[in-house]
Amino acid sequence: MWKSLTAVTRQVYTCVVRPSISSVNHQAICHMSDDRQNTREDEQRVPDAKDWRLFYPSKETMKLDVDGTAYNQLPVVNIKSTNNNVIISLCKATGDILYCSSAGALGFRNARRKTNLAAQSVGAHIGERALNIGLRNLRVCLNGINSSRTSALIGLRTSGVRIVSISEVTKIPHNGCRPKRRPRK
Amino acid sequence: MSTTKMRHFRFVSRTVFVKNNNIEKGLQVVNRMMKDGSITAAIRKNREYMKPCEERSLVDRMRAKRIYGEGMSKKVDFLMRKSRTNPHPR
Repeated sequence: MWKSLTAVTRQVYTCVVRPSISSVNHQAICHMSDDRQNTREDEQRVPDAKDWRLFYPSKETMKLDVDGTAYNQLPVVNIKSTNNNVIISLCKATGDILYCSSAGALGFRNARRKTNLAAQSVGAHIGERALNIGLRNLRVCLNGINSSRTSALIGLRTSGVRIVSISEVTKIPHNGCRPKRRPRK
Repeated sequence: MSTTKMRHFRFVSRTVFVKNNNIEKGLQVVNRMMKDGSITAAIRKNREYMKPCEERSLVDRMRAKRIYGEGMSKKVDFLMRKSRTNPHPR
């Protein structure tokens, strides 16, 4: 069944279910695309222990209850990691920025901004601010592929904030603008 | 915002729920998703412009490498069907 599902869609959506999230709807499985019809077998199938490690996200997961707030309404932390810097912003679910910080803002200059230490300190700083405001559960959006994004996440975790989900938001043009030329040595 | 047919919806695609603040595991799953969907390759390809002649030669090199790899793995599987003494004991 899993093979047919992955054959239907090109992108793979997976979730690791958190057991302590209150009111998880265990019956909501596999509404990944409207093309696929929910058969009777799916509804009558008894869920195994393996199924709860991964299930595909769907409309139902948007309204999962996490400590009182719906998953839809949780605040978002956007981590943008570039070659030279790390910029983290704390936003509401609607997108309004509550707080923004970066490695340069914390006093690191030039080459020190792109180190893992800088990323970790920015993450910790943002986590502290979130706790001061009263936001405990956060979703994280990662932008850019770099080693500093893991350090930023570790910094967030050390500050005491609970990370509910990680999502990847790096922009992929479908052959849009022409990128820069390769730098000459 | 409607949620029907949301293949590229922000918190449905390319997301992972994190268990017990286990970021490493979550990131592992995310990275595996990106690799299987050939998304990291697309990002890396788009970082720098590659001239069409270079791109063509790269495609040919990758194809040759894949063919070599398939043949080599078949050879190794065949040889492993019998147990032999180690030719390089050190």
